[in-house]
Amino acid sequence: MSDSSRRKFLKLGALSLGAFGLSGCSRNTKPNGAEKNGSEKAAVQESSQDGELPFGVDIEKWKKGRGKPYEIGGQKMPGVCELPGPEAKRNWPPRDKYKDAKKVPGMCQLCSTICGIIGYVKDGRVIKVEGNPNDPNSRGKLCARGQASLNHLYHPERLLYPMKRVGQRGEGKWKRISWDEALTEIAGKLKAIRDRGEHEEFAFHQGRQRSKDAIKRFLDAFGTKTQLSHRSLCSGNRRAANLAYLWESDWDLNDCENSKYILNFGSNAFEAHQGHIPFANRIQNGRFQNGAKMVTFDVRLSNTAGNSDEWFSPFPGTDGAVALGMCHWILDQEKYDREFMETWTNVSIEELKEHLNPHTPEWAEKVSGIAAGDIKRIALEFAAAAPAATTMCNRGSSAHLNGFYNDRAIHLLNALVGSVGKKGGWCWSPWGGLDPVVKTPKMPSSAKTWSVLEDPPEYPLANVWRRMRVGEIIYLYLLQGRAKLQAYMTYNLDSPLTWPEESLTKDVLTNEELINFHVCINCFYNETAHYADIVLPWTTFLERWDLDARASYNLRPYVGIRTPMVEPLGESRDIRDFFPELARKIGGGMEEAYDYGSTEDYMKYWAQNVPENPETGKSGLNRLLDEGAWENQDNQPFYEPYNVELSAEELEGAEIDDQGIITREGIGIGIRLGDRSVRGFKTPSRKFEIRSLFVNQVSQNEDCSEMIRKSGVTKTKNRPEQHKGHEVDVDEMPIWLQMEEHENLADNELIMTSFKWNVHNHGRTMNLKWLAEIVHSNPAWMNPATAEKFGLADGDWIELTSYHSKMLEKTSPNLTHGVRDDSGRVVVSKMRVPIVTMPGIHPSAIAMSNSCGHWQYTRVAKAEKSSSENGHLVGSDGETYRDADWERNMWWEDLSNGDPAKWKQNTGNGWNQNRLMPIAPDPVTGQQAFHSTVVKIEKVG
Amino acid sequence: MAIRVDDASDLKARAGLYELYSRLLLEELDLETLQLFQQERWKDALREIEVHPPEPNPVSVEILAIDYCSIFIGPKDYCPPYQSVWQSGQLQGQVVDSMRDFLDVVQTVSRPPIEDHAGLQFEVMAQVLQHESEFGSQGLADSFFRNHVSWTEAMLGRASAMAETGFYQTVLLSAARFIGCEKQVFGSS
Amino acid sequence: MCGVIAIMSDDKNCCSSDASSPGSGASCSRRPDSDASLSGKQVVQTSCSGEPVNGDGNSRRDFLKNSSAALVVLGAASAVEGGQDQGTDENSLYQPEERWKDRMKAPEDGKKYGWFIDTRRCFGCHGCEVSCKAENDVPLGNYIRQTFYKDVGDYPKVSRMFMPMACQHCEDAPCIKACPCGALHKGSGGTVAIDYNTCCGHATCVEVCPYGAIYIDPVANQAVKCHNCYHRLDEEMEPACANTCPADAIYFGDLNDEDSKVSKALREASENGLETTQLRAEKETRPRMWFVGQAPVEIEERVPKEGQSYSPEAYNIFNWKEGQDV
Repeated sequence: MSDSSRRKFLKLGALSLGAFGLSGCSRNTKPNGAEKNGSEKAAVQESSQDGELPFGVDIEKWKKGRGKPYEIGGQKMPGVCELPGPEAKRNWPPRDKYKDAKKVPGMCQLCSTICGIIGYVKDGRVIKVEGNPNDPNSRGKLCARGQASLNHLYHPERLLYPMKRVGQRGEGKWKRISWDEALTEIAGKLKAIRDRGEHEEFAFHQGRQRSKDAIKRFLDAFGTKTQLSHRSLCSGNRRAANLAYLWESDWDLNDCENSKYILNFGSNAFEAHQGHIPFANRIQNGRFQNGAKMVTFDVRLSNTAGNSDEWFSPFPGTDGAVALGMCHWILDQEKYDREFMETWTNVSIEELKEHLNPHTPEWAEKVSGIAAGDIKRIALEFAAAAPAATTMCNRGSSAHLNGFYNDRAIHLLNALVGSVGKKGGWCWSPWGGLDPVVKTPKMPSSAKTWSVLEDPPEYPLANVWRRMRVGEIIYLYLLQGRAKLQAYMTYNLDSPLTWPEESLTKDVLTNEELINFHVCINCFYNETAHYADIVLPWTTFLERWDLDARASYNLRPYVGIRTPMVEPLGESRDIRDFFPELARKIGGGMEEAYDYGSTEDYMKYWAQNVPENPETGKSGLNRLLDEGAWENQDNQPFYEPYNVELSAEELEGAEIDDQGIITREGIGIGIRLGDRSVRGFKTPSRKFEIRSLFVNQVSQNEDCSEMIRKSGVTKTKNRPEQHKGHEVDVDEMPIWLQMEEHENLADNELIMTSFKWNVHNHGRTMNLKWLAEIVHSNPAWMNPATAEKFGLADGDWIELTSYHSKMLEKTSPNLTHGVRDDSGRVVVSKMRVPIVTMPGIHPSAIAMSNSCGHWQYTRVAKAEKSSSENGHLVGSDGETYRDADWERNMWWEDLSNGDPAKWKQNTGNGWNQNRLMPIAPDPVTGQQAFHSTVVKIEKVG
Repeated sequence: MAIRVDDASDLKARAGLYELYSRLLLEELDLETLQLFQQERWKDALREIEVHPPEPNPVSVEILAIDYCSIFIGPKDYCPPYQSVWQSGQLQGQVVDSMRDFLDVVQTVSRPPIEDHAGLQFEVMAQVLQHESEFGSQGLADSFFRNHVSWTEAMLGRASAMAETGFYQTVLLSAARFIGCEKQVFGSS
Repeated sequence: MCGVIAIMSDDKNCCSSDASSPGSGASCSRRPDSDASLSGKQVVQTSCSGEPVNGDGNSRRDFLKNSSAALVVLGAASAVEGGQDQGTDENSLYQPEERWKDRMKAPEDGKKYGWFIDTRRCFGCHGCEVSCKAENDVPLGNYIRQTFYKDVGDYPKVSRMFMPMACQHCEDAPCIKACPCGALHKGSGGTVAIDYNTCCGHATCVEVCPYGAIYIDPVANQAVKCHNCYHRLDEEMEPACANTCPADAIYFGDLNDEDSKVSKALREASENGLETTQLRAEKETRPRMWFVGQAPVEIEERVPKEGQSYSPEAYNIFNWKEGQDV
């Protein structure tokens, strides 16, 4: 720099000195930046007056410690060669990395399995995240996602400040605002809605949440029941199938660790599944310590299928037919558990034989393509291993238009062989979450509003036992004017990526008439945030409080804790922190739900019943902070709960009806078996309901109050009026339903199936570099024989055209929109992708993973090194930009510029499979049928 | 080659520049500051380094706030003004430890929520230079500059290139040039 | 079959041809790829593990490579076949013995670290790799460890094999012999480690490692490899890959301690009649890692060889299936 320009700078500098209240000489004026806390400020001023700290500089301190912490470079060592370069590692790995590191417990939230974790915290930073061995469910194990927690916490593109949209919605123009401004504006909108009495037009839409109490408190205090979720995009059918048999639980927990035979229909527990790692670990223990055999039926060779002892690939959506074929054979060969069937189910062997008479293994072979011989053999192997034999299933079987029936049929196998509730068998537990011993401070009373978005009348089993909701219809219903939203608060949600019909989702989110005001709470700027009006920076799961637990494979409840391992970064805040403030701003009584004190007070109260650990003397919150989790090991695993005898106390004043059902004050509590009074199942018949009169009567809008009373599960809804005009014929018995669209597929049509990678979690992990490095792209899987038929080879590109369901065109005509092409099907969307030929996929199927194809959610998720708008190459300057990772080493950036001919394998960020998916709720429960979609294949170029 | 700087007024002026840039990096501009820039001597001094502040009115404030946000706050494709991001590709890198050690020596008025924010580093520099202007050098400025300021030149250059308003383009470029000049002062490259 | 013999035998009694004859002195330049990896088939095991109950045929394993044909059995046989002509190219990269003799000796602290990998249990979750990345801040595109995949068989009989791989901590470590600046050495328990005050990135170790387990850090320009997480062992923590493994497929510990996890797992495998194998035992480097399961048979060809390092290509789904080996 020349001397003259230097002088120009100095001239400006002379003017600036002290002008902004930042530097020492103006220390006594009001600071322009954030306020210091009082005592520190006072100290500074005081010492300034003493002249000890002029300009805030403690030079004596500097002289004392000088050189020690700041010295860069290292000593030189003699050697035969040239010395290591300037960036040499020297002290690597740092020998003292864990010395004096503090261990802070927490719970992972990079998927819904919520494994217990420990954060090693040093100098205010989390230096490593590991599994917490005290977690009774996850046992100290942690998968790749959890191990990438550091990427999540310290991501260079985390949202750190609240922002307000300034351009058109979806244009991407923002300005920073303060939390106070943000909350004031949100409160203003919400208060107006509340004042008008239109509470239900404020919707809270969660992707995944583990702060159930905090959300419920806010929404109930506000007075809206419009809480939208993704359950129907996930597990609605499996839950409903479980509930139809059990009523008390929607979640089968397969006791694989103690099994001898594991029969898996379409569950990929080794990569995905809500029970993921805890489940997978127990499966492997069952196999390799207990000698269990594992057989998997799945359209695609998942890692679970690939590691199983046998894998079979049924035609998509025919899992239930295979299961019925097995049931038929077990009956035919008299290999069923007569005692269990006769005592504990509500059908006779003869009835069931007659019902299953047409469902021979040969019939199942015709439907599924699985050889009848294999079906018979496996059926008998399964029966022989019982009662230590269990099925397992998940979205592979249930995310179909016939998914409810598939899962009903699969579960039936366990009843036939008598493994229901047995050690090593098909179990469940009534504790889907925290040990009920812990109780939150008093909750406000429940909101009473109704919204079609949350409770659509078309789906009889969606909200009957419990609220599962039908998430995939909400944007369509908004578009159709069936509801409107004045305020929409999204939370940990990435609906444009994870919801079906991407373009419709985007259209509705953009439309300010349909969604008047949108507040997005998230850690990152994702596709949902892009369509928000205000974005609030959320804390990561390493920076917030929760008590949390899930249905444990130990078959008993526990309590785990999530706690801030470090201070929230930037201005990020959790809902536990700002909901009270927002409620106070809204006022009108809402604030009364928050009179419990601080968040820590709340946590203390919540955890107070966790008993003392005699070894440490700690109890309640202190114990959880110490150990991370607590399980009451005096609770026996939930085996054969139906056989538990009722106590004299329970039987006091009880009545017994002619079917032996024991009631007290009209409410079912058990069943009489011979001379025993036992608990039985919590169903109307007190038995494992192979025949569910209830599901049929609910679907026909008949009064079911009597059945509900006898079950004892009194929160079950009886409201025939609600579904009036939307009768669906749900079969009482486990059946298999042929999907119309899968009959007579044309030569150029395949069925699309989707899947989740072991390093990803839907729309939430592709921003994490260590995971994106492993999987970032998702070419479509195609069987080599199928590829040959289409004249395709590895890396060739195809155009996919996806279609609406023919079946739903009839049963749910309101869902279908679009143009019919010459195939006779209605088109959803088209997309071009490359294919990879894989031996492990059914020839009639084509598989594409979810989680890929982000167009927001940080540069890592987009696999883009630089900002395209400015043409400025970030990380290209090797001398000044030293980061070895973030962008410079992102080796998978796609340089083809969209030209298929130039695309290189294993590059790019993939394609959003949900662009092709139609909104397709199973008419029974509303479960999104992610795996039933017919697609047309055309070679590109 | 190091430039000789022993003039106390030079040190003060440099401290002032750090203070100015600190303010610009840490926060959006308000009406008050824009009005200040309209004062003749300010306008003059700014013009000499080819910075032309916009008219002080609410529209300017809004336009500048949007530009500031897209440069330094995000939500996407922005230029994070944090040393850790620049050097290790993540927030809260080890450099924060070192920064905390310096903050133990130099107490700042600003308290941005992230400690290796370039704006905070500029404020530290402003204080240290002022101190040195009165008490002479103890090597603190030199050490702090090498460890926590010299990195900003590249960042400011990029930020300037990303800016859409003439004001931020020029003022951030001037900051980059100033740090380049400071590198010569401290004899570091 | 010889089962776990190699593990428990005393090192000194193990046959070991002198593969460490002095080379042509210090060699500081990187060499083009050697063809040393052509020297013969890998050592593999045959027996199928954990036959399922009720498994009358049609186990997923019956369509896998029948390994007996391609096999060289552990121990005696491999000594004959390996040895002599093996690795002459590596030998030429070796330093004179006096330069590495001391570094080849582990401190005498009574410890002997080793690994046991139950590939039957591994389901390829990549947890170990990401934990390793996090632990050691390994830059993108570089890996201390990787999990290899392979789809074996044709539709409808297909199986997926998984094998986590990292440095084998060879007792007769070629990398130590080839290190021109004396950085590679044995630490406590025989951990093959690098002294970063000395390593200056010649990459000769990469040239000679029969397992491709070393990379050159792009920024530091120094060799990086698994160090058994010695900084964690200091704090009585397991290596970062081992304690996180959701499948319980990775076992580490002191082979001299019969209560260590690795000793127990090896003993249990032996009691269950499982054959324990080593990878590329014919290289005679006496690796300290043992495997059970069939993955080593199938996946061996995918593990990098002399002159190579782990590469992103391992993640390329186009390479999962058979016949895609690079």
